[in-house]
Amino acid sequence: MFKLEAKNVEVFYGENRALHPIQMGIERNTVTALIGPSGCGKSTFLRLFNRMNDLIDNCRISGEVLLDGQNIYDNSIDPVDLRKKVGMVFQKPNPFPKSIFENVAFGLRINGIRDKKYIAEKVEKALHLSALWDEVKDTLNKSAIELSGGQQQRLCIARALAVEPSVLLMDEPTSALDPISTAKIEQLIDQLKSEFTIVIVTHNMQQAGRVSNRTAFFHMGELVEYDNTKNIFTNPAKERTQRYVTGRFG
Amino acid sequence: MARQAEQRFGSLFWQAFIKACGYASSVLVLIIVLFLFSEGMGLFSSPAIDRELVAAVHPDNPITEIDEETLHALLGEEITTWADFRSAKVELVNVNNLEKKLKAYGLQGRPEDVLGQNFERLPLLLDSMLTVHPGMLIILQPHFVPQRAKQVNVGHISLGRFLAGRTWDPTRSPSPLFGALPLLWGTILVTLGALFFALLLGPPVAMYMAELAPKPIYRWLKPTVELLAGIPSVVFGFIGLVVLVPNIQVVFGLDSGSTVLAGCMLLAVIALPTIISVSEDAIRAVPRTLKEASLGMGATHWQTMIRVIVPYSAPGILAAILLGVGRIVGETMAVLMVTGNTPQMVGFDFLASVRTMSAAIAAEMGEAPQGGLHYKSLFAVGCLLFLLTFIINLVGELLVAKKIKQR
Repeated sequence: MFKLEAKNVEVFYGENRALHPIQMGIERNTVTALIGPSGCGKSTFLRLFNRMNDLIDNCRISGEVLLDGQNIYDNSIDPVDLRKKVGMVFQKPNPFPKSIFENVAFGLRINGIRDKKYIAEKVEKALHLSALWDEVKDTLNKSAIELSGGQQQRLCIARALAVEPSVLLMDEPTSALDPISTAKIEQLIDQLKSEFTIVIVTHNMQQAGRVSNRTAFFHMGELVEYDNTKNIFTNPAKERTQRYVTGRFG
Repeated sequence: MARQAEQRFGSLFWQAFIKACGYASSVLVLIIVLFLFSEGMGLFSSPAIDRELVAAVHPDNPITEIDEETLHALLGEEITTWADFRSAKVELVNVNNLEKKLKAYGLQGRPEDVLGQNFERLPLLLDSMLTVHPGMLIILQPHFVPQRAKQVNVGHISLGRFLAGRTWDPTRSPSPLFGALPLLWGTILVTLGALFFALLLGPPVAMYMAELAPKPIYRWLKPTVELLAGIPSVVFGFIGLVVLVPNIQVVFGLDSGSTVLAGCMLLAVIALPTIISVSEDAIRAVPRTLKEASLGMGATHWQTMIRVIVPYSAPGILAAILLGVGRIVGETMAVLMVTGNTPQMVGFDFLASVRTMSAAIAAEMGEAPQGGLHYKSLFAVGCLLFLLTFIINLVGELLVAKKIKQR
């Protein structure tokens, strides 16, 4: 069984079709990269998995999206609960204007956890997982805004991990970062895949090649090709994919 | 080439024009503040006695100067003997009791008949009275004071008594009482109450408008709030006078519904549009990414509002509240119309009538002769009002700056 599966999913914004019917399965504990030119629907597709598209007023979705075999668009599913299982990291680092500690503890606190010792443990664990602990362990009460961009993004990853989701969605997580911070995040993604199922949107094809097991190429709201990353970059089946990955359009 | 030069000249001209406007308005503000303080501070270098009156005593009386406090004690008959003058009994003769005193001295008939049409013979009579009552204190126009009597200086009005005095009676003769405390307290009381109502309604309405209101409701609510801001305060005062005041009178069973409470409720309504609009902008300025981050963590909309949106927009909301406070403190007409306009010292009593500083200035300026003590005292009240709003703004700026720094 797939960890995540899209079954004939279509998305419309008002009258505009954002995604043509998409069929795609994502294996447990893998990194899947979604690539494609701007406006191709890859972010829209990513946001299907934690129902972030629900926040957009005129967004309409048909078809099924399965998490562990269950349709997350079923009426019995509360998107709030879903988002606790499917964490998300955004394009620009968006820490809350709170202390480093409180940022990571946020998810625990909104779940009603009051046990200080438990929270402290989980925060430390999440910061270890995101490889930030050694850099911030002495300054946990400092404002998160004072961290560097790369540190902020790793803090956001820690924040998402603290509630122990099983899936981590990343929407161009390194596009606002310098190369060194980017390398750190990529290294982190590689370590995290043993515990989490990761889906990452990127416009950086080298990054997709470096971090992902499987790659999906989107164009004009269609899933053009979905295959092992190696195949996509060396021997794509479709001509459009070939042209995009070799940099001839996009 | 010519065109280029022309353009260059044009831009230089407009730059200079904008600069000049900026300087001119800054200087204007400065001049206004200076004028306010020079007029207001004049009060404290004036003797505590009506301009046209002088105080005079028996030539043997060793006293040379009466300070403000002693004068009021003498006028209030709290001091009845001269301590330094053989404990002579104080015999006060002033404009108010002149006729009574003359009768007591044995004057028969109408004073005009005996003393002449313009009281020409009054000094002579006072002179003879002075012999009988050596403890006499005469407070009259200088030309009525007998030659023999010794004029004494009256001390200046003190800042301390202005700030801490509990009686505001600026037209009392011969020595007015300028205790601005009832006015200051009136303003503070009305402001606190209004702030309570405004806080109860303002930020929640702003939050509702920015985060919760369905579009059709918002389309009605927004213009309504903006319309509220455009209504002149005198109209609010009129509505308050006709609707609010009688109802308060009935509900609380009072003799008069013109109370602090009426002022508070009315001022809250007047300050609401400012507080709501500015707070709403502050709430809408919360970055979408922060809201998404919170919702993406599995926070409910409510949790996101409380834990992310409120803390982030707090400086803006604070600024909104301070703008509202500024509006409340300075509001004149509405508060003049509904708070009863009584300059009395009250405690934490929201059902009492008070007079605020702004109302005092508006109500009394028309009857205060220019350059007189009353006139100066109203300027002094103006200074006090200015300082109050200045301090509120200063504290607000500091708080907002501190909050923003914490982000």
